[in-house]
Formats: sequence, C-alpha cells, structure tokens
Amino acid sequence: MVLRFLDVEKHYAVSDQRVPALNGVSLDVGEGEWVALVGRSGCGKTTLLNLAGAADLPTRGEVEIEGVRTSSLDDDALTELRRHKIGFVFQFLQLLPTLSAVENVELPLQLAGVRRARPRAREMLGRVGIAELADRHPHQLSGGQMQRVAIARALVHEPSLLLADEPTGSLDDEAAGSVMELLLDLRRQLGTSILMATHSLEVAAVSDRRLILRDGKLIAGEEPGGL
Amino acid sequence: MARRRWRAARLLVLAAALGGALGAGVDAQGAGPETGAGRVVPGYPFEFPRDHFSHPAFDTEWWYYTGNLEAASGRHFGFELTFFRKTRAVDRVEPSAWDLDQFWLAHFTITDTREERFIVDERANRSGPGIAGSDVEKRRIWNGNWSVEWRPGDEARPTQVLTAMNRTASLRLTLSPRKPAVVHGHGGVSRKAAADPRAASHYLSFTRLAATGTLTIESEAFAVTGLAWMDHEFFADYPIEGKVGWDWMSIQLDDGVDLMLFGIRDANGGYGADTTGTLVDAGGAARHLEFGEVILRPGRRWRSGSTEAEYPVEWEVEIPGIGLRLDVRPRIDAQEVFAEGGILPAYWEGAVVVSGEREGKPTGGIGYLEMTGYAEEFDTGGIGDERTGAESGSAR
Amino acid sequence: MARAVLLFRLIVRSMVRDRARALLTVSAVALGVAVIVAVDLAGEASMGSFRSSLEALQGTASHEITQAGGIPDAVHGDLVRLEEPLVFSPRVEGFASLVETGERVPLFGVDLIGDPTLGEKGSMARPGTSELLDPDSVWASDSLGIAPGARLAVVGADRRTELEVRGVIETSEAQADRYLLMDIAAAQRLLGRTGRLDRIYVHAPLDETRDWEERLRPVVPPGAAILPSGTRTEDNRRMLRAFRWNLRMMSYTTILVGAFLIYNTITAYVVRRRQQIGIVRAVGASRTMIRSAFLFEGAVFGLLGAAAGLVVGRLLAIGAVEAVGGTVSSLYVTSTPGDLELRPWTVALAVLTGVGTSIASAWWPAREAAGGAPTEAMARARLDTQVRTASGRFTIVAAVLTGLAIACCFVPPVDRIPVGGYLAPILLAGAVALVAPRLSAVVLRIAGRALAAPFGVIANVAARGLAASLGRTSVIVTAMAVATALVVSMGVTVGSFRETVVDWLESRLQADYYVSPAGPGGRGAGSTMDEEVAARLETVPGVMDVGRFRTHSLRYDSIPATLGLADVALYERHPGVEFLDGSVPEAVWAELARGDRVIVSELFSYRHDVHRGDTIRLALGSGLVELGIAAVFYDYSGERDLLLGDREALLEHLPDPRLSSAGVYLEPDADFAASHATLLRAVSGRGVKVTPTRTIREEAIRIFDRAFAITWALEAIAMFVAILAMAEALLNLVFDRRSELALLRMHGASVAQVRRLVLVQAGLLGALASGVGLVLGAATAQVLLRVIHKQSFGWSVQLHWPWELLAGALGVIVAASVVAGLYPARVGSRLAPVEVLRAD
Repeated sequence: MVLRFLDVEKHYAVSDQRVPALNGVSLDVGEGEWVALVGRSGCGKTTLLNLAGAADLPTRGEVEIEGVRTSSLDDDALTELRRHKIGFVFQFLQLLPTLSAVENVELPLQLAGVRRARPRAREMLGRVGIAELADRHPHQLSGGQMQRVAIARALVHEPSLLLADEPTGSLDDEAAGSVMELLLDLRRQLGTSILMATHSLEVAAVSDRRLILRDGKLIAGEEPGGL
Repeated sequence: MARRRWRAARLLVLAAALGGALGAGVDAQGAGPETGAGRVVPGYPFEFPRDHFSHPAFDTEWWYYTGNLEAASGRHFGFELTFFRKTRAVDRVEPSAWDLDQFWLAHFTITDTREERFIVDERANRSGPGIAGSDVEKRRIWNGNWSVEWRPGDEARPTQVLTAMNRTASLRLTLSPRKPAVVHGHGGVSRKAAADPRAASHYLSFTRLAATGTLTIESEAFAVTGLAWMDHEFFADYPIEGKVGWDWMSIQLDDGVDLMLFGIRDANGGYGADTTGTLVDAGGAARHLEFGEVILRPGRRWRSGSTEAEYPVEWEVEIPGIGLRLDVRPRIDAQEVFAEGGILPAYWEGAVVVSGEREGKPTGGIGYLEMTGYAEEFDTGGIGDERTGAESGSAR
Repeated sequence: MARAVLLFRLIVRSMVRDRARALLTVSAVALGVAVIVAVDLAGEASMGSFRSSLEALQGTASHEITQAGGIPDAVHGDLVRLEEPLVFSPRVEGFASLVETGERVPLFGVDLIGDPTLGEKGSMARPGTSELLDPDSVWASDSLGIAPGARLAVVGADRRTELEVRGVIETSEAQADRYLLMDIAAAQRLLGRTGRLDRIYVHAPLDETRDWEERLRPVVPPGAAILPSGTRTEDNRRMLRAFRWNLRMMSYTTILVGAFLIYNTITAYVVRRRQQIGIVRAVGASRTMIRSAFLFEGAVFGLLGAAAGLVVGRLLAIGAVEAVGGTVSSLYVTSTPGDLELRPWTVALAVLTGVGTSIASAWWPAREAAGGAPTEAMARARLDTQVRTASGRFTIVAAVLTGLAIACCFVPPVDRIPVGGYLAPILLAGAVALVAPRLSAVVLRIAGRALAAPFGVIANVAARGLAASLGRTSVIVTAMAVATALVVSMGVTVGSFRETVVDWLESRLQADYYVSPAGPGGRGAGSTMDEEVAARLETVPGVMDVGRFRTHSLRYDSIPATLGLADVALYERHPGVEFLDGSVPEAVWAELARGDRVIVSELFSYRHDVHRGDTIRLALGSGLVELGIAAVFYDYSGERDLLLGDREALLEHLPDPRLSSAGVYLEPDADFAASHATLLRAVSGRGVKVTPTRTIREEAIRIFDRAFAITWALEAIAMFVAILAMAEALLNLVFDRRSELALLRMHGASVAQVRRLVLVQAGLLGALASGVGLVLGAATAQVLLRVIHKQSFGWSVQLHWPWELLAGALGVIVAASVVAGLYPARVGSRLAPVEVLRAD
C-alpha cells in the first residue's frame, strides 16, 4: 500500500476553537492507483493531501506512507520522506518565479542532494513535452505550460505518490484536458500512484477510484453515484 | 554673607598691615619696634620738598586734602582726597614688587550739597609695581590714578594738582597755597595727649589753598573754585590708654584766619584735657593752642543708616583766649565715609559752614569736620577694638 | 473623524499586531535620535563650559591684556595710573600639582589687597580668612574638598612647597571649578614668575562705549595683546567647533542608517497590506488618504522613537560627556564639564530628526501604497519593477552626484567648517544608493552561481530571491554600506593619523630622557623650571647634550600660537624636525641661529597662508619683532599653531631664561637604564621629573587613542543600527517570500535548508554592503584626510591603510550580518508550509 489513512482526525485551532477539518478518515491508495478526491471547496481536501504528503501530521489516527507512520517521524525525517516518496502539484503558486523552468524542475533533486540533476530535469521536461521551454522563467510561460513544469517537478525524483490539488483548476478546458492526458500518460510510464483532489467530476472521471469528502468525512461509496 | 566675610578678612589683613594707625588702637606688639625706626622727636629738621613726601621709617603717614568748592552757578561741593601710608615689616628672602612693605589706602569723597549726595570711594593697594607710592623725584603721591603732584617752582608755596576719579565722579584741582606750610605743635611735634608726651606726630598743613579746577559728576562737568586745606602727618604708632576716637576740624574764616582744632575722646565722650589746635592768622603766622585752650561741645546728633553710628554733626567751638565762639553746621548730614566692603572703619568727614563771633563781632567761614570712633563697625574684629582700645599716638 | 478612525484601524492596529517589528523600528529611530541627543548634550555640556579652567576667575572684565612671555609687573603700575575710570585685575596663572593626589589644578595669583573686583558680586570668589599675604597662604575652591587649616603640599613650577589652606572659596554649582588661589606675590614665587603677570583684566564702565583699547595701547608694551574679554573662550570654542562638527556629522550618520530602517519597515507594511490597501481603495479611500495613513505611521514611529531617544540619549550623554571631555582635555584645554541640561532646543532637535527622518523615509512607500489602481495595488509589488526600469537613469544621476562630490572637495571651508568636505561623502552615499540596485543585481547574479557550488541550490535560490527584491535589497545594502563606510573611513583616517603621529613622535622626540616640571604635563600648563636644572644635567656623566626648551603663548593674527624656543645648535646632531617643503636642515638651523628667523608648523602655514621666505611680525615681550620663515615643518602635537626658534637668539626678545623642559641626549655607549637614577640624583631637590622618551610616546599614543574613543563608540552604534536594519529587512524578505519558502519545503527542502537560505541571504547582503561600504569608505577617508582634516585642523596626514583592521572590520560586518539573519532564518524555517499555503 502506498498510502494508508487509519481513522485520521485533524483539527485546526482557530481562535481557541478547535475546528475539525478531517473526522475519522480511513483510506488506502494502492501502487499505481489513481484515486480522485472529490468534494466542495472547504471540505478538507487540501488537509487530507497535506497529511498524505507528510507536510502535516494528524491530530489522531495514523497516516502511513509506504508503510511508514508519519507520526513517528521528526521534521527532518518527514522532509526526507517528502523528498523521495512524494510529488506535489498545486493549483496556484506552483513555480519559484526566480528560477527558470528547468531550475524549478531540478529543485527537488538538488534539495535532496542529487548530483547531475540537470539532465534528469531536462529529460523530465521532455516527457511533459516542453523541453524547448526549459530555460524560460515562469512569467514567460502560459498557465498550461506552468502546470506542465510543475508536473515535471513533482515527478522528476520519481516519487511513489503524486499528490495533486486541483491541478487543472486554473486552466481553460483545453489546457486542462491536455494536462490530464499528460498525467495519465506519465502514470503509465512511471507507475506512480496519484491522489488528486478536485471538485470537478469530469476530472475525477479519469481516475480508478473516487472518494467523496464532505465536512471532513468520507461518505458513502466510492462511486460517482454516491455524490 | 560671603561679602561680609571677605570684608572681615580684608580688615584683618589691615589689622596686621596697619598695626593700629588711623585712630584705631590695636595691640602694640603688632606694631613692633622693627616696624619703623622713625620716632617723633622735637627738633625734627623739616626740609622741603623732601618732607612733603613719604617717610617710610615712620609707621604711619597721611596726606589729607579737603575743601569747599563752588561752581560758577554758586552750587556748593565739598571734597576729600586722602592718601594713607602704612609701613609693614616684610621678610625679603625673595623680593617681589608685590611684597606688602608699604600699604597704601586712599579715600575720595564728593559732597554735592544741592543734591544732598555724598559720593565715597576707597582704594587700597600695596606699593606694588608702581601702583601706589610717594616719589620725591617725580614730586608725586599716588594711589592708582588718584594722585597729587607738586609743581616745581616756589618751594615755600608749591602748587599742588589733585586728580581723582571713579565711575561716578572725577576731580581735577590746582591748589595754590595762600599761606606757607604750618608745622603744628612745639618744636615740630604735635602732641595728642596731655598725660603722655610719647603720643605725638609730625604734622604740617597748608591751611589755605586756593582751589580751581573741574569737577565732573555723572558726566556733568563743573568749573569750580574754592578753598582747600592740606594736612600731612607722620608718626610711629603708639596707643593712648583709654581713648576711643577723635574729633577734628579745619576752619577757614572769612577774615583770613584759619583754625585747626581737635580733641581726643574718652570712652565716656569727654576729652579730659586733650583738646588743642593751631590758629593761623591772615598773614600766615601760626600760634599753637595749648591743651585745654580749646573747648569743643557736641550738638545735634545724626544717625547713619549704613553703620547706625550716631555722629554729633553740629558743634559749638569756643576758644576763650581769643574771644572766639563758633557754631559749626554740616552742609549736609550724610557725610559718613563708609565704603561698602571697605577697609577702614567708618568715620564722618564733611564740609561745614561756621558762624559766630570774635570779640563781639560776627564772623563766619567754611571748613571740614572729621569724627572718628563712632561707628559700630570696628568691633567685628576689624582694625582693632575701637571702643575699648587705646587711642593711637596720633590725631590731627 | 471617520477618517481618523479608519487611519487608526489601518495603522495603529497593524502596528500593535506586529509589535516586534514596530518595536524594532522604534528602537532604531530611538537609537539614532539618542546618539544625536547624546552628542548634542555632551557637546553642549562639555563645550558650553569648556572654557579653559584658567578662566575660572575671569569675572566681568571687558578686556584682557596678555603678552608672550608675560607682562612685566610695571605695566600694571602704569595702567592703574591711567586717568580713566578703569579697574585692572592682575593675574598670575599657572598650575600646581597636589602632591597627595597628583591632580594638577589651576593656580591663580590675584591682588588680594588692591583688586576691588574680588569683592564684586558674582565676579569672583572671595577667600575668607586672614593671613592673606603669608607666602604659604592658599585658598582652595570648594570643589577640591580640602578643609580650611589643612596643610597642602603642592608642586608649582619646579618647586615643592607646603601651603596652608586658609579658607575655602564657594564656587557656583554649575561651574564647580577646581582651583587654588594665592596672593600674587606668593603665586609668582611658587610658579617661578617673579616680575611677570600672565594677564591683566580690564573692567570698563558698562555705560561707556569708548575705544578703551586705544587708550590702553600707549601704556602697554608693543608686544602685548589687548583683546576683548572671553577671547580665550572664543578661541577654545572655535577650536572645539570643528571637533564638535565632526562628532555631529557622525551622529547624523546613525539617524541616516536608522532612516533606511524606517523605510524598510514601512515598505514592508505597504507590501504586506497591499491587499488591504486595495480593498480600502476599492471601497472609496482616496490616494491622499492612503498616503497620509502611511506618512502618519512614519510620524508615529518617529515620535515614539524621538521620545525614547531623548531618554536614552540623556543616559548616553553621561558617558559621552566623559568621552568628549577626555578628548577635549587631552587635545585642547584643561577644563571641567558642565551640567547635562535637557534644553528645549535638544528636545526640538530630537523630535525634528526623529519625526522628520521617519516621515521622509515613509514618503516613498506611502507614495507607492497610494499609487496605482485599486486592483493593481492588490497585485504584485510595483517598486521592484520601478527600481529595475529606473536603474539606468539612476546610474546617470549617480555619476552626476559623484562628480559633484569631487567638486565639493575643492570648496574652501566656510568659517573653518569644511562644508564641502561634509557634503562630499553625503553625495557619494547618495550615488551609492542609486547604483546599489543595478550593482546588487549584477553581483547577486554572479554570486548565486558562484555560491551554488559550495552551498548548493539553496544559495542560488537565495541570491535570486534577493535579486528579485531589489527595491528592498538595495536599500538595505545602502544602509549597511553607509554604516560600513563610516567604519572604514574612520578606520583609515584614525589609523593613518595614528600611524602618522607615531612616526612623528619617533622623529620628534630624539632625546633619551625629558626633564620637566613635576606634575602631569599638559596643554597650557606653562610650568617652568630653573635653567640651572639643565646645567646640572649637563654635568652628569654619560650625558652628551642637554637641549633647553621653552614655550611661550602668543597670538599671531589674533589666533593663539605657541612659540617654542629650542637649542637649535643641537638639532644638527639630533634632528627632531621634518620639513614639508624639502628645506635643507643644515641651512635652516644656520638661519635660525641668526635670531631673525623661525620655522613654523604646517598648521600655522596653512592657517595664515604664510610660507618659507615670508616675513611675519610677532608680538614678543619687547615689542613687534620681524621674523622670517625659514621652513615649514610637520607637527601633530595638537591644534595649536607652533613656531620654533632659537632659544639663545630669541632670549633677547623674551628675556626669561626659565625652561619648560629639557631633553637629555645620552652618549651612544651610555647605560640607558642606569642613567635614569643618575639623572634623578642630579636634579634632586628640584620639583622636576625625568621621563624616558618611550613613556612620553606611549602617553601621547594613549591620549590619542582616548581622543578617538567616542568616535568608535558612535560607529559601533551606527553599525548596530545597521545590523538592526538588516535583521528587519531579512524578516521582511522572509515574510514576502514565505509562500516560496513553503513551496520549497513541500518540494523537499529541510528546515536547515530554509535556514541556510536566509543566512546566505544575510551573508550576501553583508558582503555586498561591505564591498560597497569599503569603496565608499575609502573614498570618504580620502575626503576626511585630504579635505575635512586639512580644512578643519590643518594637518596633512600620510595615508596608511590599516589592512588588518579593515579586514577584521569587514569580517565582523559579514559575520554580524549573518548573526542578524539568525532570527529571520529561524522565523523562515519555522513557517509551517501548509499554513502558509493555506493562508495564501
């Protein structure tokens, strides 16, 4: 199992009040599996992704990434885990504006201390189909291109789990379609498991499995019909 | 307070420096025998101009100029310019011009009768590098820029030029003797006390000096003329038992007669036999008035606001031997010589008018009156214990 | 009213919310203000009363008469006989050393008998007991704390004397002068000045405005000076003013650096509240309102800072008075500091600088906040792009400023204040501020690549991050650079100066021992000893030569100077003077021996524009003497003009054979250590001291170092403020770029990596500032040495680069920058990436 949630609860403290974000969530994502997380804005999708990405720890319950319980790890170990096992793709704020496309892509490798990151980054950019834009800076790229760079960056270190938070949310339909195609294609090539949060059923439709999140709880079945 | 103390301090210095001159009786040891070798002895050979100038061998010496002046308008002024000298023993291991071997004091007063104003200034100095002194060569006696200069010429009747100034007034007078100098007493010795022949001084006067010059008060200049009097006296300090002060007057009568009279006063205010004087007739011939020949009767008293001393500012003078009786009245009452922070004890010295009769005929004139030993100031430890101390070997 | 409420909500609330940063900013303003206040207060306290302590008894005189070598006693006699309503107060002035404590106090000889002004209210203290004229009578001012009746052993001139304290003189609390008073005769003996007066004060009637000088002139010797009273104070003031100005300029640097900090803070507020501003604008707030809100914010910072600065400045001033006082005492005149008084002017100065600087620094950010459409305000920062686009124009303006700065160096001083010299570094700093963005961009681009190798990708990201915030980066670089430049320029200047003085001492002090009247030496001491001391020294076996030296104070062209009379013949064997103008020493000595020539210090030459071959007329004791200038020599002994002549030859004009000091030259084979005892034996019984030359050099250097202590203190404070500014700027950067940091964390950056990123940024800023500061500082040092020093002091100082000191200083600055980055780094690394991303 690449990812497992065991009765996970997550609360945030806002002005002394505990605001529950997730409440008793349990789920599994298998190797190479593409799971869509569907729900309205504010239902806890992002929280769930953060927990899945070892960027945050549950208030109660356990999150296991490749069998390692995140709650047992310190910050450095969590960072280490992210470096090797996880790739992130977000809706906004994807790229460091001061770095070129290829520099953005090689960043996770460099942060992990990998030598000769540049060829791998270029190769990855080739895979996402924008090798020729490698030296452009983010402000010289279109939204779709930026998202491709982001995907390249998320996958350059060949993580076992790609976490995507509304990856097409800010793209027009055409761009969104091509990004989805790219993701499908890459999963095929790399065998990466994908957990994707979206509010769009259309996007969710390409997944193997759909989880519906409402008010911090996974509800009903795993089928679209449950919505 | 500080001012008072400073003043007291200066008085103390003077106590040491003056050792009991100026009418103040102080301890005789202070004025030890080494102070001045000079002794007042009969037959002193007066020689001029030498003897117009200082006699450092004698402990104490002074030159007194007083007089009544009139501006062209008839406005009356009185003046006093006095130079005191005191010899002090000095240890001269390493001589300095600033050594205090000769101490010089001077008084300058102006009586403005119309304005009833009395201007007083005092100046104290050591000889120093020409600050004060007496110089026979330069024919000058001075204390700072107050000076008297003897003009060369007639040595019997030498013209004397007075200069004095302060920030209020300045005076420049040329004095021409109308009579030659008179040496008081017998044999050149003016005795002060009938009971003690050692109480004496060498004492000479120009009793009638025609004065002409300029007096400036607060930038207003007056051309003045009048009559002045000059006293010059030197002696060895010598305290007189039981005396507290003296009363002295100079009188210039309209008929040309001049009188110098004084009495040495007891603690109880009387004189005993110690009143005497000199009569100079219109021709300049002097007759010594013997002890007891002069009667001085104090009259109305005036109280000084500064020292609270009470001075008998009016007097009745009688010399029965020549049938003279005179009333002496001050031009103004307030003529006390009292300098704030000054060194000398306060005394009264002022212009007077006299009137009376001689052998039945009315007579009158002008003069100067001096009264010492009335002020309370002394007992603060100044120049000595004025009231209980002994009179010095001299009065004028 | 509603607007005010809105203002309050916008500004004050956010200030309260962001307490730490507001506190930082207020502290910086406070420090800047405090330094200015302290320097002003200390300057006022020390210099306001830094009249020479010899003026303690000046009284209400209108004129004073002085004469090189002293006024013959007889002149006083002539003066007092003048038929004018004038009062004259003669004075003997000198110093006596109290044997017990070693303190050197002014000793006055006054005419206790004849001086009527002694009793005048307020004009002079009055001693209060008898025995005024005993040669051992002395009065002590109350601040000396000596009880009446005490025996007091003193050394005056070369003699030890036992005195009896007859009384205590009350001094005003404000002045608290420490001095001794004696009768003039006793003082003359004690100070070895029989026959001479040092000064005669003239008291003229207040209501008469006659030309008294004209009346006095015929009476005093032609060589005497008649000056309005207080000239000495004026002289000191004038001399001290240059010194004070330099201190002031340095104190203003601190507030300048503080200004950058305010600018930074407010810019940060603007950036952070851009959205808020956009909303407020969208709902109808005018540009003016937004601008006034931020200006108001600046004013609040300024006001709070000024208030705190006043308090802190008052405290700092206590230390500063001591430092300034020490400097003034060692460099100028012996004196006593006055009270520290918080005058309205000081308060106004504090508020003006604090609020003024704050509003000025808030101006740009406020304009930026108010600028643009509401929606645009919600978007990206405009300043950075503005900075980028404008940097071309900036470069041109910077070049113009640099040109102006160079031109300023050639502007002559105004009233001895080197205005051009002060302006030049300011213009240069302006130029640096303008080229800083472009320069920073270039350097950061290169640095990012270069640093990636040793520090990893983080370094590159760090450098890129800095380059992306040029608006902020260049400001902080400028602030740091200005502070650094201050350190560098002072380091170079003081270092050069020190080196020059050391060299000079080495060459000037050629003798092996110096013998001088006992007691601590010092400026204006004027103590002398009998010539016989020198004669005795000459008989000591192993002594080759004894150089007799005497100094006299005089005036040339109404500026005080010292005339040194030396045994010129000895200079041939022991050259102790170096000439600026390449004169041949042998020829100069021969000329001096003729007695109609002197040599003058560089200072004298510069100040009076006289040179070799010119003739000057000096008022010496006997009258006006025409003397040719044989050469100009280097001198760093102080700020006073110095002239040197042959003692033998000039004794004719200044017939006083007493000596100020004597230099003992030993035979080359003499036993140096043993000689000390032998020399001491030779002069035993005389109140003189025998000092090895090394000790004198060390003492001179010690005094020198103490003189510059306050300079270093000011620099340290400026640097500290700069470091605060740095910390603040880095905090802002972290806050601005927190989402990027979060992103980095999400993509695998560890806490340590994020921390390193911020620290690298700190180091980069420090290094950049150091570099720019080094260049600016080097330029400023040149200006200081060649323009400011030359114009205000008249010294030419050989440039020495204190490399070690500079390297050390720059190292410290970079290190301090990194230290300043520690807290921002902590903040940056502690940012929870999830929350950051969520908040955005």
